[in-house]
Formats: sequence, structure tokens, C-alpha cells
Amino acid sequence: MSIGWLIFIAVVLIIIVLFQVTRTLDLVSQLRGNDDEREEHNSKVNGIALFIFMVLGVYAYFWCFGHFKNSNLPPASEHGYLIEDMILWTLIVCSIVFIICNILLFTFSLIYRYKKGRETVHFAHSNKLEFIWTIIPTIVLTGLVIFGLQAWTKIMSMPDEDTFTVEVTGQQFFWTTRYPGADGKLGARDYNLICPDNPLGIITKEFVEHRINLLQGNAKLDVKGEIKVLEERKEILPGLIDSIQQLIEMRQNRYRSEDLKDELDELEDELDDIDSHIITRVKNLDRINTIYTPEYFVSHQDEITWGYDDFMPSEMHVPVNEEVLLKIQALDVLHNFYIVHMKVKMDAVPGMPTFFKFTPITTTAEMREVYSKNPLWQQPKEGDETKTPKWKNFQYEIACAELCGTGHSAMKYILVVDTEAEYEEWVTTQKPAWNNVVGNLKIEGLSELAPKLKSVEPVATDSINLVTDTSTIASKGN
Amino acid sequence: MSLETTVHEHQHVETHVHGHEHHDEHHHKETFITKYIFSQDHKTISKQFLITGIIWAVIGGLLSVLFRIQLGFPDANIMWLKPLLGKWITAEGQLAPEFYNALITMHGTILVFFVLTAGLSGTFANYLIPLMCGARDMASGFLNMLSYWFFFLSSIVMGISFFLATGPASGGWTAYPPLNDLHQAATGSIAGVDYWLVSMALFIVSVLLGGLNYVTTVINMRTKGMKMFRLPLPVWALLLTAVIGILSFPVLLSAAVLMLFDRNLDTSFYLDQIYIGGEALANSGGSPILYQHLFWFLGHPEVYIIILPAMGIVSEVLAVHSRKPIFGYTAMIYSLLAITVLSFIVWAHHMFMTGMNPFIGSIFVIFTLIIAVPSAVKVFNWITTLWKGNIRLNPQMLFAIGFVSMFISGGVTGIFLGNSAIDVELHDTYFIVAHFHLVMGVAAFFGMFAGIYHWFPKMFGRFMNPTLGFIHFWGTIICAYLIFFPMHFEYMLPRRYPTHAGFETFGMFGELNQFISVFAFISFACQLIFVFNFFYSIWYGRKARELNPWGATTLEWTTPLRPKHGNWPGEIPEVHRWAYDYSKHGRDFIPQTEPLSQYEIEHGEHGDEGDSAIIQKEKKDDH
Repeated sequence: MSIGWLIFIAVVLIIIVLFQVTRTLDLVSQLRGNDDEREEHNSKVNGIALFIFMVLGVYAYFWCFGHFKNSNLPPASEHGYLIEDMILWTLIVCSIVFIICNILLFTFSLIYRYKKGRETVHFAHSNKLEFIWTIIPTIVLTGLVIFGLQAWTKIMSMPDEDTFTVEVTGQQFFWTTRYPGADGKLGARDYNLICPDNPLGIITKEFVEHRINLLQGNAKLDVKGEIKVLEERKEILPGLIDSIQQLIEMRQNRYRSEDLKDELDELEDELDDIDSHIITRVKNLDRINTIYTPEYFVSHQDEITWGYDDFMPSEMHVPVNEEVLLKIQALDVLHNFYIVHMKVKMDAVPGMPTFFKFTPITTTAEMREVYSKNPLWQQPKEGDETKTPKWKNFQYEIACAELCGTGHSAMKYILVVDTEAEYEEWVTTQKPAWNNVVGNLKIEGLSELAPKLKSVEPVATDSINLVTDTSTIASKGN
Repeated sequence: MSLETTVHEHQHVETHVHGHEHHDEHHHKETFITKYIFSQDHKTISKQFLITGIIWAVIGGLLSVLFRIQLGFPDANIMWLKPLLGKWITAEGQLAPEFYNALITMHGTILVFFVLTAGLSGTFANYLIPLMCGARDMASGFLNMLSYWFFFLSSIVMGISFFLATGPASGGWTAYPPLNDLHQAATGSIAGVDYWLVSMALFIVSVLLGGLNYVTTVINMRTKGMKMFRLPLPVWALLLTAVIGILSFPVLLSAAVLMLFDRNLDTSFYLDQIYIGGEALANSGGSPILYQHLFWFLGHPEVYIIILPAMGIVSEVLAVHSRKPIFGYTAMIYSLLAITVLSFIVWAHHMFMTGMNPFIGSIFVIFTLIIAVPSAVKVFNWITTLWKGNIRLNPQMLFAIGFVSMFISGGVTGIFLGNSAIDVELHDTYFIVAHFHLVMGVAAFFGMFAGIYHWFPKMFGRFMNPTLGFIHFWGTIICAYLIFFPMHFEYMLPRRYPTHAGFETFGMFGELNQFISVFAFISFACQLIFVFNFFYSIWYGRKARELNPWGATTLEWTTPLRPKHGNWPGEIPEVHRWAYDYSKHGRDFIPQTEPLSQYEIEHGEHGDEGDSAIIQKEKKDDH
């Protein structure tokens, strides 16, 4: 018996006691007085209670604003102040309506509570009154609409073409940003080319070849190819299933064979699905072969060249006081790129890029100063041995604000707002994404294909093992 | 037996008068099955909706208790729930995150559709429309019965999905694709979403069968003298609710069917360029935003489907128990009509942040804020109805007053959210959770409670225990405000997170979340008091002895204490006046069935004279 069940029993008992008491009370009051007296008594008690409730409520309303003021977010972007202003004006208007209406409602309930013989008025309508309270909300709301739309148009207006652009991509369950590199232009991308070496599907001739190799297999690369691996898997699956079935039958009388049954279920599911996985990959290959003809690389030369120096940092950095345009995309399901302090929020939609522009006006260091005066940020983080106050480690946090599955609450990403100089320095430390994977590609003639990369030496990395990667995809099933 | 024959005879009289054909069902002896299960009596069907709704409300509430444990006490060991929830409790005694998502999804679906649509408008449209219009039954008793059984079937399908190995749908009650469209995107999307969609399709059939019936009945089957502008406000509200439902639910059906195609027939209505689970899918050309447009074309009117019946019920209860006519009857009807029309052109305010063209967003801002005007008019009229009344503060009246308060408190925050610039900050945060729970969750429940306490003596011939009613009211309103008011201050917290622990920025609300959770548990316990009171009173409540215990003017109180199928044993009464003649000519109330007296002018027929002139004239006449 645990605490939960005890609470449950306690609640049930309380309800039973309450009921018995109230039933007795009702019986007594029915015996004692007549209906009118009872009605008057009930109305008086409840009328007074309603009034007290209202008074306490209005007090609590204002108390809350004081109590929660430290958890408010100081805006850190230019348009953040526009939104703050709108909220303030709306708050004033709404508070007046909210308080006056509730006061009237609860006060009338007290003043005009039931009394035998109280005079009432047959007051069924008044054109004048109704006109007044149709027209006043209309005027007030028109004002709010006008100010709101002005702010909205400012926030949503498209910036100049040469605005500094960062591309954001959401997928289950992390964010990736891509910066344009020295040429200031982002390279083209295609979801058909996505693979562990090319997580955003940047289009270059090498990546196209690489993706084809991964799907099809290629002697030069020592890979079997995802399609081949799946086909082989398909051949051995029935045998595996048979042998597990036999095992289960043999064990039937001796052991419980739950684990084996689970495994059997999984294998059977995999067998059911494997054809569709093979078809998906064959279609992927077909699409690549159709799109990427030799003419394609001639006609799209610019967009392809831009991709070579794009870099994908582990944290997002932007310089202060410069307008940034976010180009937001998603690979799998809907996400929402939410930079909390910047009041930036925009859905990431697969197949449809969305945009949001903002100008950060407070650097991370300055925001730490702001938070150093906030009592809520003085405590060290839980489990922090060094006992550093939280504000010292403050970072702008980016979250996902559109339900995207099991890891929705784990899509944290960091934004660092630098001064101009800090940002310039940071950029120089960033290596093109191409640089990290080029060693894995094993394609001859690389330097000819990537003229922009002359300064960058191909670095051989052993971080990604292609063979194991393809086989895990095959065994992953769903 | 003699009573039944008279009913039958009068049905023939009715047939003659209205040219409406009745079946000879009363020749057959009623069995338990035809009387209580496959009944075609609107009153029984209404009770079926109500009781099914209450059962679902308890289940839906229980789900919220589970996820409030997670939100308020994330470190609590809930191993003791393992016998009930099985593998959804992890080995560490925590709620599995995918189950958290399933909980919030099911909580939303159940409360919005099964409780506040079927349970609220299903119950009261069925109960009140024939009784208040003066009809023997719905236009088609058989379709009406089917409407309930489709709802029942739909709720069974949804119920079954709880027992799937991969769990029920877990992609939010809005079921956005591609999360709900792709099997590999979430555990709930493997099979749960198919059940969700089928259940919704059945539910929509139920709503349409019911809705067509309600509209037909109100238009065609009003008793003699019952002009449209003499109808009590609940009938108007329920009529317009049915109209909204008929026009918007089919769109959800199309959205659901397209998603079923996407999921099972490899179409790409909502899919384009997806890379998931290590594969680039072949789907192309669809748009996930298309689904959102289709969904919210229902989804927004849906909130009015929920709130309009509550508004109607509250208007009636406020007038009856303050012994005054509802203030601005005509304005109340026109504001209902305005809300009905506007409810169809505000849907995209749910989508400001989807990357939709900002110009389109601007248009929806304008319509959204316009819809606040009729809502404000209604609030002012309700408050004025109380002014100089003689207010009986019994449970139904308290809930009606509570409704108005909740509607104000939740309504004003809608003005924030409707303004797209502010929505940038508040979209998909706890601010909106607080907003819609107050304005359409708690408020609609308050309307429903007011209706149940008010019409209980008519429904079951007994009263509910008022003292338990008072405890229920005070517990509910206090908890509701303590839960949802402080929640507005979490305006930066993204919703649908099982934990915010990963973020420093969201770290300061631990205490508040605990506070909210505790009051959520108490609030749930208060609802159990109501459930107990309801079922206990059906059999053991104080017996109603008067035909018209509240002194109301409307027709349902002219029926016998326990009306049979057919409602009136004799002729259907004729109506001579509107439904709100309270405190007129020095009389407490004048029933609708009473003809106008010699000097009396009917409400609404005195042109621009205004009421004060009438009052003076009446006073003169009295002297």
C-alpha cells in the first residue's frame, strides 16, 4: 500500500463525511424554516462570499504582478520592445475591463441578493445603453488593431536582399544552423542528398556521387550500398525468424520465453517493412539520377560553389546591433524556432522555408549584467560544485515551440550575441563543414572540383565509419 | 395506459395541425431496451449524452491529474501507478515522455469533443429544444438515436486506442502532420492516430445527424405562437451551435480522411520533402499547412460550438434566478448571430506563426478583434440583467455568475492573443493554455453545471443536494482561478513539455507549477463531489413536488413532473409572449402560455419608445 492509494482513500472518506454532514444540514433546514427563509439565508451567505472572493481576487491580481516581476524577460531585440509596448497597452485596457466587470458582477450579486418582497424592475432593454457599450469596445479595439498591425508589419516586413542570413534547420530533436562563409551566400541543398556526412544535403558534385555510392555501393569506397545491405537482410530474415520460432517451441515447457517473443515480433515487423525501405531507397536513387544530370552542374554552378565554404557551428553566434535574417527549415516534422529573450518564434515546416528577422541589441555579456541584479539568478545551479551564481553562466536559449515528438523538450540550442569584434574573431575559428567530411569521401580530383577550397587542406578524419553507418540504418527498421 | 393513449391521440391532433407524420410507437409496450438503451425519446437520449459525457469528463480529468503530477512534482516516484499504466512508467518510476504526450493529446481530444461538444450541446440541445419549442420530440427520433450511438461508437474506438501496445495518438489534440502523418515520427503515430482519425470520423457523423435534427426541429416544429423572437435564448444558442457544427465539421472530416489516405495509401496531401529515420521519403508536393487550414476551419468554430450552448444556458439561468428579463434580448440574439458568422473567418489566428503570408495574418487580426465586440455586449448585458434583480444565489445561479466571471477573465486575454504582434511572444506558451482553459474550458463547464443544477428536477424529478452544490461551486471557482490565473505569468514557457529542466530560462517556475498541480488535484476532487451528487440525487434526491420549482416562464415547466415520450399528455400549449416576462405588471413572472392582457404590449413591439416609457405607462395604468 503506497502513499498514493492512502491519499485516494482519504479523499473518498472525506467525500462521504462531507456528504453525510450536508445531507443532515439540508434535512434540518427543511424541517426548520420555510423555502423563503432558506433562500434568503443561502443568498446572503453566498452573496457575501462572492463579494469577499472578488475583493481578494482583485488584490491577488495586483499582488501577482509584483510577485512575478523577476521572472519577466528583459527584451533583447529591437522588435522585442515593440511587442512589450503592445502588451503593456493591451494589459492596461484589459485590466480596466476585467476589474470593472468583475467588481460589478460580484457586487450586484451581493447587493441584489434574494430577499422576500424585494422590488425588481422590468428593465428589458435600452437602446442607448446598448449603443454605448457596442461603440466603446469597437473604438478601443480599433485602436489596438491599428497599433498591433503597425507593429506586425514592421516585424514581418522583408529585409533587404543582402541582409546577413543564417539558415536554421530543425529535426527530431536538435537544431542545426548554417552560415554562408566568406562568399556571403548559402549553397543550394536537397533533402535527397542527406546522409551522415552531409546532414543538410548540401549539393556538390562530390556529395551527389557520395550519396549515390552510399545507396548503390561502390568498389572504390568499400561500401556495399544501403540497398544491397537491405536486400541481403531481407534474405536472411525468414531464416532468423524460423530459428527463433524453433527456439521458442523448444523452450515452451521449460522457460518463459517473453524476450524471444519480443525479438520475434520485431523481426517479423522488420520483414513486413523491409520492402518499403528498399523501395524508398531505390526511389531516392532514381530521383538523384534524374535531377543531377551533367547539365545540372553546368546550369547551377553558382549555387553549388557557394556551398563549399558554408559552416555549421555547434552554437549560433550573431553580432550585436546587426539585423539577422533567419531562414528556417525542417527535415521531418513541424518545429518552431523559439529564441526566448529575442521574442523570435517561427514554425519550421518541411518543404517550405519560413523567415524571421531580428536585431539583437543586448550581448550575452550585457544580459549577464542585467541578470546579476535579479534575485532569481543568484543561486548556483543544482548540483554545481563551484557554487557559481546562475547569472554568470547565463546563455540565450533556443527552444522548440511546436510539438514534435518524444524529445520535444530537449531541443535546446544556444545563441551567443557577440560584439562586432568578438564575432569577427569567432568566424575565423569556424571551418567549412566540407572540411570535416572531405576526408571521408575518397573521391579523386577533389581539388579541381572545388576550386574555392585551395586554402583548405583536406583533413582525414576517422570519426565516421561509413560501413557501420549503412548497416545500422538497415537494422534500425523503423 | 390511459395517459399513453391520450398522448397518442394528441399526436394525431398534432399530425393534423403541423402536417407532420408520427410513427405509432406508442402501441408497442416499451421494454427496458427500447426505453433506456435504443430509445428514440429525446429526453432519454439527452441523458445518455450527459452520462456518457460525465464518464469521459472523469477520464479526461484523471489524465490531467497524471500529467500535473509530472509537471508539479517531476521528481516524484510514481511507481505505485505501475499496475495501472504498465510500461508507460519507466524503470525509475517516472512518466515516459511519449506517454506524457499521449496524455495531453487525449485530455484535449476527450474534453473538447466528447465532453464539451457531445456532453454539453448533445445533452442540452436534445433536452431543451423540443421542450422549449413545444414539440413532442425531435424531427427524427431515429436519426437522433443514431446520433448518440455514433458518438458511443466513436468513444469506444478512442477508448480502445488506450490499450494499443504503441499507445494512443500522441501528437496533440490538433493532430498536426507530419508528426501524426508519419508512422516513424512518434510512437503514438504508429497506430494510435488511425484510431483517433476513425473515431473523429464517427464523431463527425454523430454531430451532423444531431445537428440536422436540431435545426429542423427548431425551424419546423415550434408550437403555435412560438415565433423565432419568442424563443428562449438557449434554443437560439443551440440552433446556431448546430448550424456552426453542420458547416464546419465536414471540413474536419475531409482533413481526417486525407490524413488516413496519407498514412495508409501513400498519398502526399500533407507531405513534402521529408527526411526522417535515415530515409528521404518519396512524398512530394503536399503541404502540412493545408491540414492546419482545414483543421482550424473546424477548430475555431469548434470553440464557439462549445461556448454558445453555455452562453444560452447562462442567459436563461441568470434571468430566471434574478427574476428579471434578460437584458437586451434582441441584442443577445444578434450578438449570437454575429459570433456565428465571424467564427468562420477567424481561424487563421491559430496560424500566425506558421510562416503564413503576414498580410493574410493582418486580415485575421481584424476579424478576431471584431469578434470581441459581440462577446463584450453579451457580458455587459448579463451584468445588467443582475442589476436591481432579486437574485437567488443557488448553485445554478452561482455557476452562471461564475461563468460570466470566467468568460470575462479568459476573454480579455484573447485580445492579447488575437493581435498577431503579441502572438509572436505568446504563441504556444502557457499563456494560451491559461487563456483557453478559462474561456472555453472552465467557462463552458460552468455553463454546463448551471444547466444541470437548473434542469435536474425536470430531468429526473428530484433535486440535487444544494449544500454539496455550494461546496462544488466554491471548490471549483477557487481552484480554477488559482490554477489558471498565475499560469498567465508563465507566458514564456513553451507548452507540451513534460519538463522544462533543460532550460535555465524556464527554471524559475518550479514552485508555481507545484502550486498549480496541488489545486488541480483539489479541483478534480471537487468534481467527484459533483459526480456523486449527480448520481445519488437521481435515485435519492429530494423529490420535486411542484411543476415549476424555479418560477420560470418557459414551456418545459408546463409538462408533468415526469414527462413521458411525447412530453405533454394533453395538447401542446400555445405560446402568447416571449420567454422573459419577469417582474412585469407587479407579477413575479408570466408564463409564455398566458395570453397578453388588455393593456399589455409585447416585448419588442414598442418601436423606439424604449422601456422606460413603457414602465411609466404601466405605472400610469396601475393607478
